[in-house]
Amino acid sequence: MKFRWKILISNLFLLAIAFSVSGFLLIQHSFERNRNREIDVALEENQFIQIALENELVYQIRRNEFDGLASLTEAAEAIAGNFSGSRSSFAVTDAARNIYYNGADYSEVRWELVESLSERGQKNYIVYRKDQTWYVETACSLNINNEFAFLFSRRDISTVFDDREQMLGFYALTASLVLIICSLINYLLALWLTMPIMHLNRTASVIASGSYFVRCVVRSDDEVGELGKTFNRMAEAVENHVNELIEEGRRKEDFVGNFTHEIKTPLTSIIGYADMIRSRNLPDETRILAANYIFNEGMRLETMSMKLFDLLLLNREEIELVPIRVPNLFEQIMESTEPMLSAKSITMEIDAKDVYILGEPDLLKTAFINMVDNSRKASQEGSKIILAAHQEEETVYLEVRDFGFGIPEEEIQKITEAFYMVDKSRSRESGGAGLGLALTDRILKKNGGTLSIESKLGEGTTMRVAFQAYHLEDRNDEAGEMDDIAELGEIEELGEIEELGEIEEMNEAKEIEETDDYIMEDIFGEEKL
Amino acid sequence: MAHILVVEDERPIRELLRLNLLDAGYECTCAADGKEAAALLEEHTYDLALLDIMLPYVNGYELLEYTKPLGIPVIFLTAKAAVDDRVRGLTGGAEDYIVKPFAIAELLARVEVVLRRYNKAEGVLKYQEWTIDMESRTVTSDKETVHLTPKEYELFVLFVRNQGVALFRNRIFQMIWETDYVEDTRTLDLHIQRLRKKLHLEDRLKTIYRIGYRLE
Repeated sequence: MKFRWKILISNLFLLAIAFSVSGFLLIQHSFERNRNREIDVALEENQFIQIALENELVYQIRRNEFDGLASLTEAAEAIAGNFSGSRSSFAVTDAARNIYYNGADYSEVRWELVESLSERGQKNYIVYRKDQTWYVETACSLNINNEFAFLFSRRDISTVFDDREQMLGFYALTASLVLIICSLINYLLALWLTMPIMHLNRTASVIASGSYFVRCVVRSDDEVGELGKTFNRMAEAVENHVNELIEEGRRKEDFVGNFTHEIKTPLTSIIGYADMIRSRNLPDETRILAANYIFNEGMRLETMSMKLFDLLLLNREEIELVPIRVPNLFEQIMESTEPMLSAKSITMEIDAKDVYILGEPDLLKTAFINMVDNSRKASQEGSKIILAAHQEEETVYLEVRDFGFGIPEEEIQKITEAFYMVDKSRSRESGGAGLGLALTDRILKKNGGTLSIESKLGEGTTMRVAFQAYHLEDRNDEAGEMDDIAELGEIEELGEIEELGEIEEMNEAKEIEETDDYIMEDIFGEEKL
Repeated sequence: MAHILVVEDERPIRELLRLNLLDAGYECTCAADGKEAAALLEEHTYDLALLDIMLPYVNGYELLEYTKPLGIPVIFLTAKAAVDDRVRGLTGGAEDYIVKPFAIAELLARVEVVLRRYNKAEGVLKYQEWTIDMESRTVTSDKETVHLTPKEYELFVLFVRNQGVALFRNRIFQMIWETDYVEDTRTLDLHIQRLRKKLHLEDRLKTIYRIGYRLE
């Protein structure tokens, strides 16, 4: 059942009850008043007849015509004339139930009325119905010569009852009419009230069928309006979510497409050249060329698989964040990237304040080396790359700035997607598979950094990473361990342990060198060969 | 001599195509991106274009619009193996669609088929005393005309096209019978034996142990 019908029916029900109860009570009240009035009139009439009868008897006594109870008949007949034509009539009896006078159409005497009457002046009445007519019958006792007699008077009060019937009928009619009119108005009102809900419903259906951009129009400030606003908020959230899903799907599709492309391209060369070598006697020159291609493309696959592997691993592994002094990090990065930059005569500058961040040093190094590599690829020979760091309130900004080709605005969003390359042929030539920045982005996220990219075509690109600042004082407060280590360091400088320290240092340096080589191989597999 | 335009942004693959097409006796011009290819198409005419789809600047589908009015048949050469991509390429007017990675023999065979369809292939192949008429599918010498079954004929054409190249059993099987190679099958050997006998190739069609056959 529709809501407006529910409103209509419940309202109608209430109205009907209210109308009928109040109407009935009103009519009943007025009826009772009228009836009581009639009863009063009947009692007065009875009184009047009694007085008249007694007067008549007194008159008979004066004329010495009084003959005990028998005189009652005469007396009654004498006054009966006064009542002819009225709605009343009367009867007179004695205690032994002998009727001395019976007025016109006074057929039945209600003896029960007089059972409790004993003294003179006492009165009793009853309301009853006989042959479609309502009567009020009044009785009083008369004491005549120490003998009891009873006076019954009867009054027709049907009009009172008829009035009630008529009023009820009329009232039922008017009430029904009013109810009909009310229900019409009520229906329209309900329609008007539920209109926004219906609108909401239609909007919801439209949204459900896939048009997520549709919104409902909110016209009122009431609960329905509130619902509309909430609904719109929900639709907004759903739309965003759906768009995200679509975007996510597109990204996945792109990833799979790019992945197959990136895998198949080197495989095509490898298979093709291998096919040549195995099925033909090739001149030495061609054979070496073919083998070289196979080797290079194999290395490319290796580089890509390593980076993909890193990407996958990054998602799973938990990393331990330690305080890092940014200038130190930058220096390490500069050392690591120096060879590849010098090959293109690019210079690097460091403009870093003495700030600290929390992070995993090796991963961050990889991330920044990737960013520098990216800048290198976008830069012309003899250009410059700047590593900058500064702190604004509680945020430390690390920047890699280059003055290269820049990135078109519409591509900035996609640049951190795996396999995305702004200029495909150029990236390929410079040995990329479009994974570097994707990896960087993941690493930075993992380390709590946020990457943002600003770029102007032809002027260069700034990749800015925001980290939560780390304060040295925190370290003193928080971790005694650090102090311990620092102290150890001091002790190491003395005596025997000094040697140990040196060895450790050497080992460390070697390790860093090794990882550098590895990373370099990673990135320049092709060029080196 | 058919002239083939190769458009491929990957240098190794471009080289691979060039080397093999030259070996197979075609002329070959290479372009590294769509722009370069478009420029070449303006200036020269080619008998066939081998196009990569994902190309810088102008992609393969767009290049197809260049070649269509010129009447140059196109074979797409791409890593995109999805059915949608193939359908798009073929309905767009490409003659064939080769998915990377591909076997060189297959590539050459498809190139040949397309050229033949456009009547741009040579109508006659020669191998020493034998002459193959590609139109009538007959093999003749000065002395005789030999009747070959369709498979024998295709097999012979394949060997003649790949003279001096060791053809692997599974490769041959895939190309001629168009099914995957079944390890124990003798079908291929029987065909080779018959071919040797009919065309007197006993000394020249060599068995390479465990690998396949080579026509000297």
